[in-house]
Amino acid sequence: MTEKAIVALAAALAVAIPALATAYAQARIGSAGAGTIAEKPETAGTIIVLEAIPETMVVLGFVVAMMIIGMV
Amino acid sequence: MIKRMARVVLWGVKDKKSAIAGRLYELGVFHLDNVLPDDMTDDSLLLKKLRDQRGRVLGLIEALKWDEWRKLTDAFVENVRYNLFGDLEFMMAEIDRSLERIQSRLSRIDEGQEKVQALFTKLRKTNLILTHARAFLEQERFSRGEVLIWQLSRQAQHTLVSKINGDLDSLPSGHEKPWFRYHSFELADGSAFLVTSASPEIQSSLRTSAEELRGTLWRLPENYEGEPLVTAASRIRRILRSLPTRMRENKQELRQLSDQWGANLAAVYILLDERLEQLLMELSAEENDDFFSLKGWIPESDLARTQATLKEDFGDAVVLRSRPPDPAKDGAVPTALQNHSLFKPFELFLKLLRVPHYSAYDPSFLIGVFFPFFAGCMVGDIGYGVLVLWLGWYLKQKRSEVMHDVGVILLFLAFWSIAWGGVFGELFGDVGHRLLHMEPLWVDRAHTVGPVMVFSVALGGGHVFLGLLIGMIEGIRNRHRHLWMERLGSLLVILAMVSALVALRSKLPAALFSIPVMLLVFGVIFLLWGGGIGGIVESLGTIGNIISYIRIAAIGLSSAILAMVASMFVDVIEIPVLGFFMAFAIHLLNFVLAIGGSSLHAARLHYVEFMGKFYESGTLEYKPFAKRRRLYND
Repeated sequence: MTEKAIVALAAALAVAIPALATAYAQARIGSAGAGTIAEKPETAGTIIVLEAIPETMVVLGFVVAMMIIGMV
Repeated sequence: MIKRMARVVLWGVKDKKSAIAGRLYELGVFHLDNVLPDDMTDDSLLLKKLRDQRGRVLGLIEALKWDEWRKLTDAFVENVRYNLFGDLEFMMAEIDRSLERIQSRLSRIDEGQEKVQALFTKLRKTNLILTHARAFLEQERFSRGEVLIWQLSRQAQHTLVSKINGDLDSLPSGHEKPWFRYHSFELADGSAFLVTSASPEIQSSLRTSAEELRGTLWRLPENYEGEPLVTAASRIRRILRSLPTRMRENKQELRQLSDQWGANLAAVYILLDERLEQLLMELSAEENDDFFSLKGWIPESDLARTQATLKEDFGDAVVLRSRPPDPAKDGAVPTALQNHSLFKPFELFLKLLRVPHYSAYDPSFLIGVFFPFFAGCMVGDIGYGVLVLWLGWYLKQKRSEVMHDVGVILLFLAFWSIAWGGVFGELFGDVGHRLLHMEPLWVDRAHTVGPVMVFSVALGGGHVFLGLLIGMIEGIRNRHRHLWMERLGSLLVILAMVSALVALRSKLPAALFSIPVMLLVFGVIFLLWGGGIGGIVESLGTIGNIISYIRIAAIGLSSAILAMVASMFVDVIEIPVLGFFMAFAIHLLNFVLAIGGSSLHAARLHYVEFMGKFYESGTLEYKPFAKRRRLYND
């Protein structure tokens, strides 16, 4: 039971920590991006791309979590 | 696909400049080099006047509160053109006269309405005060004393009443003792009033005391002064009842004016706008004594038709010469996208970026193939797919071009959502399994994540591989040696990895490992040759790009589990109505997340992982001089 709990906690942390990091990065990029789009609407595409880049961290965290709980 | 352009120079007889410009404007294919004269010639002064007049017309349309642009038809606009448009100076003078007439009627209506509104506001306040005092005024109607209304603070009212009563008490009792009666009230805005009625002997003392306490004698509005308060009150009430009718009449008159002139003014605005565009075109022409010339771009597919039309209309008075674009001489070539009507809505994705470079690859078709496939895989639910189908169909009927395009994209998404729903056996989560005994055609992704994750990565590998392949071909086609070598290097590295995995999985003899090793060596050589150390880093980024496609499985998993949780509420909550409500609410949330999340992530996979491998943005979008009234067609 204890071992299962530790595995579950490890999997949760594998997603949660990158999620926090991504949220922090996206918040910074988002606020700067909103200002940029207000001044230059034609940069919307570039800003969406920049905003989306940090998400990869969570995806990688998800993969690690799946590996920890043995679903892969 | 990007339309092939032809560099054109048009030579024409100067006398026919205006007519030729008008014909080109109607043809709507000529992208003009933006060359406008800096000095203010007579023509550019005319341009300014036209702009001013267009602004006045628009201002008047807004003042009339006319907003039925979508009901305008081309036939109506052409009819106005036929009646009005001829010589430009004559036309502008006619429009000016009409504008002045409408403006004068509008001003009269506005002033009338403002006066009635002001009178209404003033009389309403007066009526409010008189209504509060009404009972007292009726009571004092036949008394000999003077009835006055004072605006006084509550505290001052107490002081005044105490003083007057004190003065009266101190008088010796006699046959005709002076009297003082009062009534006080307060309005909702906090202003306090005191209505007094006193015998003539103490009127003077009352006025003095009230004024000492900073009281203000309230008076009836102008036109009512000197009239007894009771009769004034009933007259004011009568007038107040009649004012809304007058306001309605004014509004009715404004509506009539708007109905009479709104559509005409809108047509004039459109025609002025078009005339302005033509004038801009004429001003861009280079001239000598007898001829003028215009330089610009026409799509190759429209060139023959344009030449034939000009020849037919103007004969030898105009010559159109063309040649293929030469980037060294011509600079930027305008980019125009041309896709099959089925995939045209996917050009919307490129509108968020700068247009593709003229010599680059237009990915609209591939976005049309892969975007709905990826997003549909994330949604993966027949029930949600049907809802998306309905939403897409609804938006497709909209007249707005963007809404129509979004509708078509959603229809594609719906198709793949339903297809993937069948593959995963999902209909509103596990409702299909519970009620209809639906079974997945491939795998239940809510319980078996592994295969979907592997599939997502494989999908990513293929998609990124395709992006690199396009990048390499574009590099070769445009003779960018570094680009194609770097892309080829990355392709070989990916192939090496895939080959190694296949070899490992199949437990092939060690000798076969020589293939991936060989691919890796060649890949690294090309990477170093094409992009140096940066090329190696780029290649490692490509591996990250492929893993990024795991989000397809991850988002799909979260959507499937949320749908299951929603359905579980019906089992868990004992009150069925509440259970169904909770299930409905969570399904609704999941549906919104599924549409928003899947679209956003599928778009991101295209923007970052796929298009990043080959997309080259340009600087110039093809914008021909053309009529802009697609919304106004019959």
